[in-house]
Amino acid sequence: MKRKNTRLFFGLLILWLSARWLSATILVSPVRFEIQIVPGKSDTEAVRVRNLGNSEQTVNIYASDFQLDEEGALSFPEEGTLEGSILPWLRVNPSFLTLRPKEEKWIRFTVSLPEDSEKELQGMIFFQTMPPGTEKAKGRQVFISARLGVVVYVSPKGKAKKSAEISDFLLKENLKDASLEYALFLVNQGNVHFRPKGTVTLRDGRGEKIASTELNPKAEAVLSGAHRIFEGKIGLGLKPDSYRVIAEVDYGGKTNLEGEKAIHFPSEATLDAFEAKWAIPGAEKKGLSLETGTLSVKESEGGLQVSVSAAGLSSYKYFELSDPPRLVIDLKGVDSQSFPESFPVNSHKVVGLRTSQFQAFPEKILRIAIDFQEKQNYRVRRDGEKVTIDIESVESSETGAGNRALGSQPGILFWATAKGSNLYQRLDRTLLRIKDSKGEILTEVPLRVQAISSGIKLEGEWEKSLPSGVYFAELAIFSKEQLLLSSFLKLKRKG
Amino acid sequence: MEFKQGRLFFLALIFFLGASIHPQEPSLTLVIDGPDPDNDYTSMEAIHMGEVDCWGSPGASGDLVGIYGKPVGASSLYDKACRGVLYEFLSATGGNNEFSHPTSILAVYVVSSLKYELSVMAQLNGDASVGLDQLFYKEDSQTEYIPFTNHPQTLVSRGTPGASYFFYDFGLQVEFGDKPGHYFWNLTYTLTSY
Repeated sequence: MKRKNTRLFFGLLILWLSARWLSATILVSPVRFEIQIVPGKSDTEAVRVRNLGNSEQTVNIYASDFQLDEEGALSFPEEGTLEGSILPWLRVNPSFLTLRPKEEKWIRFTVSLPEDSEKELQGMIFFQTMPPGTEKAKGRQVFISARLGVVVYVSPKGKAKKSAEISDFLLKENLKDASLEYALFLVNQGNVHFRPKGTVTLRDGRGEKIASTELNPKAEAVLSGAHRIFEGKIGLGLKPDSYRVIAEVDYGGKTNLEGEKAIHFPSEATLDAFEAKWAIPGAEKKGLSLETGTLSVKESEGGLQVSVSAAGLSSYKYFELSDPPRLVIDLKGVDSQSFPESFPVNSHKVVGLRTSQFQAFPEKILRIAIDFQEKQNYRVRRDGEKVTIDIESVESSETGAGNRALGSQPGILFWATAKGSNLYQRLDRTLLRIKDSKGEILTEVPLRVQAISSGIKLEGEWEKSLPSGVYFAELAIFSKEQLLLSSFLKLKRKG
Repeated sequence: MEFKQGRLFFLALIFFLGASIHPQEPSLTLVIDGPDPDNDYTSMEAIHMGEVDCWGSPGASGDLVGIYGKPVGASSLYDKACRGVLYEFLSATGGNNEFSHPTSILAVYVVSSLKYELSVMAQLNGDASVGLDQLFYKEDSQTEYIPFTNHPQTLVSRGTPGASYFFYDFGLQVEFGDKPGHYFWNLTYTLTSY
């Protein structure tokens, strides 16, 4: 018994030491404060910060704003630029500290709210390690800081109001895997943040439940006055039928929100392409540009240019195959390992690229297949270990591809091609709406309709300089009797 | 004696639990470990890349091994499109664990009781003749390098609570137009749970 106890004691001691050894750095706790205080009053809280490392650490402590965009991405705007910031009402003491190995200290902070406060304010307190040796650095060096953010939400006591609205609900079909894609727009109209929970349910024509998915599985926050877009996919291998997609959102209010959308799958008409491009008059046209380490596809005058970085290339040959139309290029001496197996393009009648190790012995041969929607003109050339294929679009007037120039304003170019039985003859009207990330309609874009061999081609443009953000283009095609097709496209404008 | 040892055991147990566990208190832990040879985490790391040149020389001073330079924008240094050399540091894949990461520059260890967000942002100090985006990173198992930026780039969005390890490789692009000098990138890895 005595020996057993001794062994257990040493076992626990070793376990304790190894656990300590593993956690050798900075720790903060708690990580989030949700404080309610009477406006005009203040509250003091404390954060525990601990150096679990084996060396002394200097830690810088400061407050920062944060915000979440419509897709939930976190950013830290400059101080003084954000409405709803707690920074003017937050004091942290001290602003830096030195922690000996394994040492722990409590950092106090005080928050208050103005007397007329009606809404929740938020901010973040950062604890950032300061790397030593920067003052003596030479050559090319990289210094690393670990920064931990403690979030502080402060709301006026007794005045919390939770209110939300589903401002839009978009639906489109995905023919590749016979599923439906949705985008749900949620607006927080209350004065405090919430973390919505909910489900999206798919029901068939008889009302039977086909599938269900969680709306916000990561429990992401929607800040007061902000809006969020939740996107997802539902159903798989759907059979032709009429479907209803129902979203139910619990945001913590008195009643849940509900949104519903109906769709017939598959639609009578099918979209071959629905694309948009930001355009700036007078600026260099950048167009399509896709790249991996070994393959790149870029828009060029009148078509596309495919570049292959083929390390080890000794010789090459190429030939055409039909049904489906494709160009095959065999590159001798090249290993397939650094190439993606498939590389979708979906532009200028090029569906995409596929690669495989056609032969491994006695000499390696990499095979690249370029799949076309229809036969294209091309030219293959070699420069050292680089092979370039220039593809000229045979029917570039049908593909559109945003070649049309804008007037004097920057804006967006749209084009789409759709097919369906007698589609051009049955077509009554088209509708292209541009919406912002709140789901509000910014404009309706008139579309030019042209009959092409496979169906119809639609083109339009909106000459408008838009700020950075997320936008949606919602397309609908109607016959006289019914809706033939609806879809949407997400557009991101970067600053 | 037996009683004393029993008490000692009990005290050790309390000490162990008290020192390591804070029940019901959400916490965040972030450990960044550079390519130092000590097989241990330290929170203050520096990466010395040495006197790399723009000609893809295989050898270099500094603290790093496993440096490989390849042309930027061209298939060889003699291609007129070549702008310089991208040096890959410890770019092989795999073979990493929480104590040792011989095939990646950085090991990032996260412990969080709640869902978390991990991001990185960079700042360039020193002579101003190079760009901040000449330093790249990639997740160890990936092939694509991503340039660092002066705004946060999300590495993990709403990560699963618990302990997680992440390994990153670096690439440094040295261009023909670069002037000799001292360049220091300050990388800030931010962990938060909002």
